[in-house]
Amino acid sequence: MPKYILKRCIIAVFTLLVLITIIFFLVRLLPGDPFNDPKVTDEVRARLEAYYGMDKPLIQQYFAYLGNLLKGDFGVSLIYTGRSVNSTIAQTFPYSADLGLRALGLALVVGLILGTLAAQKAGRVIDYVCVLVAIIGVSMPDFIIGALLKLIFAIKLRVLPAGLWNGFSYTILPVVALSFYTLALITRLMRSSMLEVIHQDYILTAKAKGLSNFQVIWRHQIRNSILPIVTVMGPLVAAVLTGTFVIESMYAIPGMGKFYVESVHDLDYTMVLGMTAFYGIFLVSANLVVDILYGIVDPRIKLAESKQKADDGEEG
Amino acid sequence: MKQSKLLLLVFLLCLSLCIFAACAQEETPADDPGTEEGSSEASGEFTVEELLQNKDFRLALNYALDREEYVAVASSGLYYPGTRFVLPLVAGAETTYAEEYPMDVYQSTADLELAQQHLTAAMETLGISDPSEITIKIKISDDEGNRPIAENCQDQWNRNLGINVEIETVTYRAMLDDRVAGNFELIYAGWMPDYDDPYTYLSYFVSTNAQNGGKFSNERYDELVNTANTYSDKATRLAMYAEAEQILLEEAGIVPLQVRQRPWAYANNLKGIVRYYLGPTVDYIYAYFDGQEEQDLSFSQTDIPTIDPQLFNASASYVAIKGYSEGLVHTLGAEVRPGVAESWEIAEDNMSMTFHLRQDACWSDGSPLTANDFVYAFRRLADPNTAASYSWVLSEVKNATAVLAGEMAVEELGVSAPDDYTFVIEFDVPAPYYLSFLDMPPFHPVKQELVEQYGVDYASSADTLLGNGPFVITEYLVDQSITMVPNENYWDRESIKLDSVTIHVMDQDAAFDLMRTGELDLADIPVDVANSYLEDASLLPDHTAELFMDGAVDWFCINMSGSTTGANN
Repeated sequence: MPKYILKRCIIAVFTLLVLITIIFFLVRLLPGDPFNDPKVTDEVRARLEAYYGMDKPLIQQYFAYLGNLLKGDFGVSLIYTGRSVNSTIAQTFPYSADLGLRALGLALVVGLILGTLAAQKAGRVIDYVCVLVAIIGVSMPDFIIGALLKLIFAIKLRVLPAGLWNGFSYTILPVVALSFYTLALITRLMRSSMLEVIHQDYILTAKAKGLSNFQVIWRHQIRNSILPIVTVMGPLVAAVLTGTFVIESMYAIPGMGKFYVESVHDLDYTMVLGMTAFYGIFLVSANLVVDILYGIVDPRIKLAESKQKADDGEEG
Repeated sequence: MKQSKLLLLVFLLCLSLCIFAACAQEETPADDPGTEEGSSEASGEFTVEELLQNKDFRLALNYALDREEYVAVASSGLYYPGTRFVLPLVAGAETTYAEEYPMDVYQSTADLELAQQHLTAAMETLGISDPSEITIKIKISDDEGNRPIAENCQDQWNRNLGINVEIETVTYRAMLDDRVAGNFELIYAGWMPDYDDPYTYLSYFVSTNAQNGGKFSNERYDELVNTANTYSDKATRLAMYAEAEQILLEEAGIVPLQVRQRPWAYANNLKGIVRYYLGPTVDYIYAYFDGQEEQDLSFSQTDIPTIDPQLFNASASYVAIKGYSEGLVHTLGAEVRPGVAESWEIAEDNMSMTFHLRQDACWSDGSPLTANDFVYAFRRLADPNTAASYSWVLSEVKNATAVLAGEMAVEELGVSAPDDYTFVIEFDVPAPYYLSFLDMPPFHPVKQELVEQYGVDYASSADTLLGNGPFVITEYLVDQSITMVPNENYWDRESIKLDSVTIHVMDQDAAFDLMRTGELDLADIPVDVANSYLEDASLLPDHTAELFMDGAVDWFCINMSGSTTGANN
């Protein structure tokens, strides 16, 4: 197992390096440059470029950036004068993570329940209701759900705030809006995966053993059908926790989302890179955790792992 | 083992591709200029460059446009049809410049007869038999809102002149570069004013201005705009500017498009908010709520990149900085009021300004504020090590260009403090318009001691800055909100009626919704829905909806340089 984890870690670092390299050069390919404001004179522009080290050859800048990255320094924003990318992430990430975790929790709980319910009652009214919710969730983008929820509950009924992030009541609408897609995805995955499991022989065996219905569902069906959910959790965690432009700007939540979009528009090179690297680190580590979790959830994977180890031993 | 080798190979491939692409891009602008452009357009005997250099053709473009039509189409009639270059609101000697110097070169409606005459004349000169042989290209940025205008112009020119128009979309940043480089035929352009004087607009088309990428060039225009500033009498100057503007329009150096207006709404009992084309987009210093005990103002800006006065680089920062900081003068709408300076004199030759600071001026902690604090702030702005993107505001100040380039010490900058309460600015060129400029944050004082103590962290939180304005910042959550309360040491404390001001940072649409639910007291109305709110007051019963001109004028810049690929710039 440790060897397996080490190998995954090395691949993860390598993936990040490739990601950062590609983004570093791609972002420079965008036309224009961050200082070409119509009011900024050429002299000032040249001074600014020198100040931020952008007058040096690109390859030199690349290695300087990698060097700083090793020290954990994402650099200084070109647009938000006097502000480092690190401090921007430190300020905005907690809000995005808070929103994301709540949404993810809600999606997991409700999604698993709906999925299980739908599979158990396959072909009946409850199943159709659950599937309908799932289809709406998957096909309706968050900006429509978010806007609808806001219009109904905040502007027409005035029961919930229309934005900001000042307490529990402020979190309800954005969390529901953000969780909808994930919730629907989990419902659908859970339903189809459980339908497969339900017809397995060992379920029949478990029932024959005289286990209660609850025990059959809890110990045999859920545990065996949850694997696809674990698989999608990796990318989902990374995507949801690192901020969503639409929901955050719609509900005036001071999270990271807007920096992804605006830094590209503003050509804030260091911010684009910092945000991408941060997201990359998150995505890669979430996938790493998922890989490790597989072993815990499904013992068969651990078995394959140890069998491979035995093979390696023989070779050596 | 094989797998890792393969990965390494893929990585190296990506790396080399990226480097190759990046290097290739740097070289492309130097590629053979103009050959491609020339051949594609030269279906007849003429080139598009000759066409754009032809005054009759440019006039035809202008006369063929019904400006009311695209204003109705593109901005639902919110914007003003632009028939001239300088913003109508700019101050005149008595009233406004536009009222004192009316111009009727272009009307807001089309004059098709005149357009046809000029087109025929242009076609004769260039030997074109049919207008359909003509194809011109409009370049716009991919920002929302530009496209409907470009499409309507395309349609109108095609309909009214019979010529073909293509639209090319590039990113905003690329458009800025192309505009300066002269890499366009017609390009979308806009300008925000810096001070209350026609010069802020008209200097754009002086032939030596680097911004003038279309190379409009007229000797008389240059002479008028460049020498007007030497006259101390405002009426004389304005008459010269008006003559220059008339030349620009008669020569059809531009196709004026529109004057922008911004829809906004505010709580019915909120008074004293000033929104004007100069100064902060929201001036709330003297605001108050009528007939209400609670005096807490709350509104939002889309982005506040910094609140360090000298590092200022976006208009939203202006709104925040103006609350806790004050410059020599204080503009309120069109009025220039005393700020830290009680009075001032402008030299007869417009080459210097002397300010007399009030003796009771002090920082919010009670320590005295002197002319030396201004000297320090100006030098900090000019210092190349500050890397202030707004250091261009010093351009006219004596020695500023050399200081900014690092060729001269900051001490050589033309600002001085003969005594603690006198501050003098000297200029390299006459700059009578500079006074209203001085309200801008980069000119605000900062305390040397604190700037040096906190270094890069200066103004990064409420505890690492010191101001002298009407309010003090009690809480600064970067990218989230700024909270201020009145500054008890402010010299004009009794005029401040608000008990607190909170400026949130959020998206414009979100702000509008929060205003409707009562959490914000004022907000801009999204342009696409503004008309219904402006027309039907019952939709916003607790609020008043209005329009204000924010100073932006838009036009198509015409490339008259003789090369549409930027080869002549």
